[in-house]
Amino acid sequence: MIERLENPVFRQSSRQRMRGARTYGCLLAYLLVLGLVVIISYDQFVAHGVQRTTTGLAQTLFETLVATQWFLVAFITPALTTSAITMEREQRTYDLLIMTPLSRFTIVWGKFASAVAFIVVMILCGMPLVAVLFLMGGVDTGLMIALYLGMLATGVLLASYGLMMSAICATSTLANLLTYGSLAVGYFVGAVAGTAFTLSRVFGGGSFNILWLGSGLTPWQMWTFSVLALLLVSWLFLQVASNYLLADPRVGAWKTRALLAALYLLVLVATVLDAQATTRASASANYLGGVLAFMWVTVVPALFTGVPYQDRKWYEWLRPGSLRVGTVQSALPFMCLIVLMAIVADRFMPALLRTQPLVWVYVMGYFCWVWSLGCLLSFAIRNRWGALFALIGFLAVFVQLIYTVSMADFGKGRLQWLESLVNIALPVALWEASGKMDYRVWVVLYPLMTTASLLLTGWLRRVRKSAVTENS
Amino acid sequence: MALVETHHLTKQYGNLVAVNNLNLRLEEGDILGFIGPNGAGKTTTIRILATLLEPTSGTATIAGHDVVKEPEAVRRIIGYMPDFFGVYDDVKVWEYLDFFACAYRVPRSEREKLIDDVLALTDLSHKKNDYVEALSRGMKQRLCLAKTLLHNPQVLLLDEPASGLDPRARIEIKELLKELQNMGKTILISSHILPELADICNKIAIIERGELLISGEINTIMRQLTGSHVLEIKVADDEDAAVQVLQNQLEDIREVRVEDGVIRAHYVGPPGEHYRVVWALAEKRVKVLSFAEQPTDLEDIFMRVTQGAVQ
Repeated sequence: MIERLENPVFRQSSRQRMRGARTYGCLLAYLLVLGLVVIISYDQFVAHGVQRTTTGLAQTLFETLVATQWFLVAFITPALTTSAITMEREQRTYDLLIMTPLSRFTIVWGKFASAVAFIVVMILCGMPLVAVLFLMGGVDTGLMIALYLGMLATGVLLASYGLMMSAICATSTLANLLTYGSLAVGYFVGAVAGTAFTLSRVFGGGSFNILWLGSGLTPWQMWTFSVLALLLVSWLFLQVASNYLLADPRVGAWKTRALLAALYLLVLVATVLDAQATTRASASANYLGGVLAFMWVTVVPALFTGVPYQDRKWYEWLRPGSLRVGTVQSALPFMCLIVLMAIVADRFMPALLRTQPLVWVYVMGYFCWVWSLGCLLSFAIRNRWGALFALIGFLAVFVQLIYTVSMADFGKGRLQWLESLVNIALPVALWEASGKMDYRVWVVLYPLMTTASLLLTGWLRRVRKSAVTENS
Repeated sequence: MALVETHHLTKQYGNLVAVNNLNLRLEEGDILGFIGPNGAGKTTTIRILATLLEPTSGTATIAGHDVVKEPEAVRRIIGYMPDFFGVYDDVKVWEYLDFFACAYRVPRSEREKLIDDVLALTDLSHKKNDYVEALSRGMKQRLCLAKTLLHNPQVLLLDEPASGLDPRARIEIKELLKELQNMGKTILISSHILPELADICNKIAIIERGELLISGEINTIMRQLTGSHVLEIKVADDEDAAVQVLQNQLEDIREVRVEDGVIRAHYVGPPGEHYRVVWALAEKRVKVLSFAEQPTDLEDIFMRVTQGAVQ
């Protein structure tokens, strides 16, 4: 039994990691930065008399230390896994590994567990500094454990994300570029910082900001939902990674989709529970639609597990054969299922927060954008420039989506029906045309059409606003 | 039952047909020499058999298991050694083998003995505690072979196991292959260097530009292709006279060449009657020092079968 659980990949990668001098250099640098931050903060706090009592000083120093450590862990963790699988390819050890009877998930899990083990080592290495602060008093043990759990959770999430990128990309350079690039974009739009913030709150047990989603949930509910979501997301990333170790990623795509559906269901349940508990006066009119719009952006990783059917007409999606395997086309019915799930969830919402029909059509239109982005990514992910264009397109769609749906007056103008239809038609036309074109043409066309769609949306909104002003 | 069988196996990369309609068959205990110039489609075929590539059309089975439908079953039966492979940094020889033994689910209690056994077989016992990246190319090649043997596979797919090795290492690999042959393994071994396969294979398959030109038992092919035998004649002096006699007075002789003082002539007459050549030479007082029938080798067959686009 124990032998069945033995994971040679875990042992091998841990052994390799701990043998290199680089790892110790990295740990040393990490500890030096931590130590310096504590010493400099201590010096500053004492000099400027920010905290007069020893316990107060210890508490402030502890918070500074944890924040720094959190940042460093978040920064270093992706690097632990982004080259995990690309290195196998580059060193030409990949074929030998893949030929063994180890399942794809076992391989991915081994690499992941080895990275997580190192994160634990990193966190533990910083403990002596905390111990010093303990001597000064004022540090709450419960809070400390909670914060470190949150730090570990961030590490788990980022390690699985890096691993997924490593499995998808052909080279380590590209994997690093894309991982840190997309994380930077994530920081920019607040998604990563938001996640880290939620995690710190959840595990920190502090009071939730009332502007934050989930303020209607009890801390215990919030904790459960967050941990479940975290596990699902990490598992999702690992599943995508192991799909990419298959000769044909389509084979395992259904597992990715199932995990994603479970994640969405979880978020919908949490949102409904939250909304039932607090009917906020300032809440967005399209509460659930906005939540779903947020979630839909996350569909991209699941989408590029699909492989586009080249030289097929769009209506051939309807053939059962093209839906069975994890093609990009097969993602469409999946998306419809998600919309259906959200519409059902909408029935349980308080009357004030119920979403209007237009929002669903609108969000559906954006789904088409995200979907065509998934197609593009599945073409372009092995091409550096294609990947860059895809990232730009991703950002554009994300900004447009959130901006529009979260508008309080959304759904009141008739022109928005037209806008929604344009959003559905454009990506479908793009997809239709791309069957006959080289994908490099597409990586130029995609940002162009996204920009055109953005401009059109802007123009429509101006028209609507001036109409509103004239009426009043 | 055939242990390895391909049926109209085809692999296309875009417009390039890497392997076209390939039919191969290996029975238990066969050693098939898979010969062809670089880029002929050998590696593609082996990678398909090793479940690493999917064929565009056609089927391939190993011990009755389809390589596309039952890759897991196939992987347990085969041992695959790629033409280019890397090794992990910062890993010792025994750790490298232990990793694969564990991956192949060899029980922990048997692993150490097994590793010692394969190391002894590949003559690497003295390197057990060395780092893998410090081994020479030939040793790495043998280590990879040792790794391939860990799960005691019935079928070995060896892609150019001797390429890039110095003559000594090449001979060592060859000795090792003979040992595996004695152990009753079925082996498919590819090479673009012909003589290195000549004395270990019982079957050959020659492939060029994705097409299988000829395949079967070495002896049968030799009989089919060579109505002729090569005669090697050494004369004391006056080679020209001897060549004259051979070319003009004997109907059963074709292609006379002189290389390094040795006359090579192709004899196409009835088997066992080439003594007539000696008679004819003796009649003209040619001073024959030695006269021998040279066995036809693979290189000969290869040159005959391929169209010259090869070299």
